[in-house]
Amino acid sequence: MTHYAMVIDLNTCVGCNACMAACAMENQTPVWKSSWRTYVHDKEIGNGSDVHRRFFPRLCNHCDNPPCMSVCPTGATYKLDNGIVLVDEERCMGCRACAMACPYDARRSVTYEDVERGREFYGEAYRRQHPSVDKCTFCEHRLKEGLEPACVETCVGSARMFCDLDNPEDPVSQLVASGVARPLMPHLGTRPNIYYIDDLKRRG
Amino acid sequence: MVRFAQGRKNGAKVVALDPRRSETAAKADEWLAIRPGTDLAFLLAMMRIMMEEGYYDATFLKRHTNMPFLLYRDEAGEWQPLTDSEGRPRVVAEGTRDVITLKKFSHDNRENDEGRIFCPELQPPADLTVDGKRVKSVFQAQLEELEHYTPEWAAVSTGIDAETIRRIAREFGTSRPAIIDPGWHGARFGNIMMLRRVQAMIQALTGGIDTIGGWIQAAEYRHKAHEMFKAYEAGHEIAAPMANLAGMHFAKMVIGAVSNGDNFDHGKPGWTWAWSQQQQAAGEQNIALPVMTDTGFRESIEGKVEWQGEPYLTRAVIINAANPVRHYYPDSYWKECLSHPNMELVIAVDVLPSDTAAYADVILPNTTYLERDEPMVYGNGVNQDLALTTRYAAIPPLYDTEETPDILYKLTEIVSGNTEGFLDWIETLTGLPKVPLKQAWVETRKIHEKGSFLAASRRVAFEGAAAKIHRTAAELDSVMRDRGVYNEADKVELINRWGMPRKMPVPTDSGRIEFFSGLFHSLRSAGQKAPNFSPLATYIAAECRTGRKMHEPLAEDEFYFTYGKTPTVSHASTNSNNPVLAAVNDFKSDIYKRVWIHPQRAEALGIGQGDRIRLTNNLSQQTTEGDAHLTRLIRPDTLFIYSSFGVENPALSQTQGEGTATNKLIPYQVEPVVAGFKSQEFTLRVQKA
Repeated sequence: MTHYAMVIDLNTCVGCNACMAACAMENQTPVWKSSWRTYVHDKEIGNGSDVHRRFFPRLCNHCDNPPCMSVCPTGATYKLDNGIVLVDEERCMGCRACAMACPYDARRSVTYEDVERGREFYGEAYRRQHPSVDKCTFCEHRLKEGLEPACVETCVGSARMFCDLDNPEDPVSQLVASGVARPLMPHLGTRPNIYYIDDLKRRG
Repeated sequence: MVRFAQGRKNGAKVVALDPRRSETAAKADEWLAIRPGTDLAFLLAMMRIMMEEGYYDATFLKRHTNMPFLLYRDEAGEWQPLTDSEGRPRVVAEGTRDVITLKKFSHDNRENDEGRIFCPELQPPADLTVDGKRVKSVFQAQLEELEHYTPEWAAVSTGIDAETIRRIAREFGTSRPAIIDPGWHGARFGNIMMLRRVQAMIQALTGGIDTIGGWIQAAEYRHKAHEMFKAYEAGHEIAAPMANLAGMHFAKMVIGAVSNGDNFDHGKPGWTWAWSQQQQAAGEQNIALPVMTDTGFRESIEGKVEWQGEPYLTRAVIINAANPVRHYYPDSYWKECLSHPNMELVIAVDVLPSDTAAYADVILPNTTYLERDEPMVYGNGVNQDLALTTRYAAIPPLYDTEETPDILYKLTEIVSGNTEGFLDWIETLTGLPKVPLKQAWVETRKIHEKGSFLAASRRVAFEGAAAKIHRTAAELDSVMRDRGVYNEADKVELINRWGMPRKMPVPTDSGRIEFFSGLFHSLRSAGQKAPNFSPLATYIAAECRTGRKMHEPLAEDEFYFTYGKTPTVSHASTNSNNPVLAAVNDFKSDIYKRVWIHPQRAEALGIGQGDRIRLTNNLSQQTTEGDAHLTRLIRPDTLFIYSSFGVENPALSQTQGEGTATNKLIPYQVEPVVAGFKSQEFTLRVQKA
């Protein structure tokens, strides 16, 4: 079996936002309203003068136990055997229950207006036919062609790494197995598949 | 960036010196929030510790640098090289008082001018005299120059405590490999050139020049140097010197070309040279090496520049792929120059309606890099592997545009009719031979309605590049089309065979890495006495307030100023109206488009998050507005602005009116060596707007 996951090394994310631009172009997202499938926080953390700047990329966590799927009243949200969580734009009625259930803030609305704007902005190449809630697909269409997700391929700091957790030879899945990469909010029981390598070390 | 990230993953320790937590400083193990303009003090203290405590690669310094060369002080107290009658350098043999003469140009000091092998001494006996002169090695003279630059001294101006400076110097000095990344920009403070020189000297102290993990020479540069030395040795003339010379040899050729009126039809040197000589004669501040600068530009429009008693006027200007109204200093200088009554014609060649294009009489629309095949085959720039590359059009041109080479040819035809001279210059500058180029153009004219001259250039360039690597143009094309580059040699192989200076001279005057600079010594000997022209490393204080030191307290509303780049906007104009990048900038609007100010200082001025503020330059009284971004990621005494914004041309619909233009705050003031902008050497005052 295949079980896709992403590891993000916060030590080498340089906050360039290339992932945001690559994802937007690849997945034809509504940039006109600054709506993103993936985005990079630029955060100031720490007390007083002991202050750090941290770049923190975010995206759908493709949970093994996805709350967005549990709450979806129409069955539009579904999960592939390889772990990818997808939305069927024809079945989605745009109720946003999934967006409220998602603890990772990973879902955005694409409206009728956005679809019209998208046809204009992306031209003939625009793929979307219907409005729906929109989210990261791990670039499933690229994976089928043997390519990595657009954000991974473009990452200049090689902070984003993609892997198959079921492949023990995969060096990135070994990072996950080693425990150095950890998911966000695992206590919620969502069993997420985005892992982060911490960049903050204890000093002094 | 890929290499930086790989270094981090491999466990490199990174220390960042920056008044603000930049993208790079955010990735550092230690962020040292140094006071603006004082980096030189930090680095001189570091250099002193490394030299005094022995954190240097002694073998490297003895063999491949001019550190062991002997100097003496002349009657005026100036350091002079102790040479023989033929100008050959002299050193002392290690552990002796024997003075040995070296080859004038070489990469290895172990061999004297007669081929005898010995080891030069870095620190000859203190009482040594030669020809009746008290002598010291460059190493000793440099150490003497650094005597006052203790960590305690540097702590005062930098705001970084002496113990930290000492620790960083030791950690850096005892780590191998270690590397200094010099940072961006030939501007900011009057000491910028000395700062860059001292950064290079510290790197050379570690022996980390052309070593894995150190400063690796760009392969194209190394290749040029190698070919140049080979030609010199064989006594050949260098063809197309503009394309084929490297290092100081290239710099001197350019200086010679633009400073000599014989190279121009009108018989005058470049106006920057005419103006600098005029200023020098009048006893005014002048620029020693005014190459590729705008010094004297305004004066040449106003009719103030003269050559041999005649006015030397600039009446027309072609601006190709540059946006000086937005990116040079200040905006008012360029707006006034371009709309001056004496300026009869302004031509802008650009891909977007930039702020500069708004001042053009004629705009010649150009293709973007996505729409064109480039006219040349290029070396791979700063890349460490030797390779050839070029661009292939990704899409056909979207608009009614023309290519730059075709534009320039046509303009020559209209302006002077001297198209033969134009082709001669192309041959000199780029190495593209005139006769085959003309032949190819006959063919490409039949195929291309537009860009036929570019296509001819490309055809000839492919033939020439392919012949050099013993391939056909078709083979070269197929590899580059497939992989983007044609790889000729790997960096490890290049370093092993032609490492500079371990295997081959560096393109300096002496062939060695020069701590005592031959260039600066000659400028100083020609009468340039400012500390900027010291041949050895020395201190030049930044002076943001006339007569006041950097560590003296600022007024309550007064700040130092610094600026930097956003990852999302380049300084050319090609992406400044890109809707996707503009959307990213909107997403991070508070960070990217606002003025960074420390909350502690903002509070005292009654400024809250997002408040509109007025900024005024205390030196020039230039003034503009911005929005406050309160953040502790900046020193309390400093303001920061990303320099990518402040677009004024409404035709740039995605960005016009966003953010603050730094060149509305930066005045025209330059340092004396190459007219580098002192773009941060002032203070700003801030009030709520």
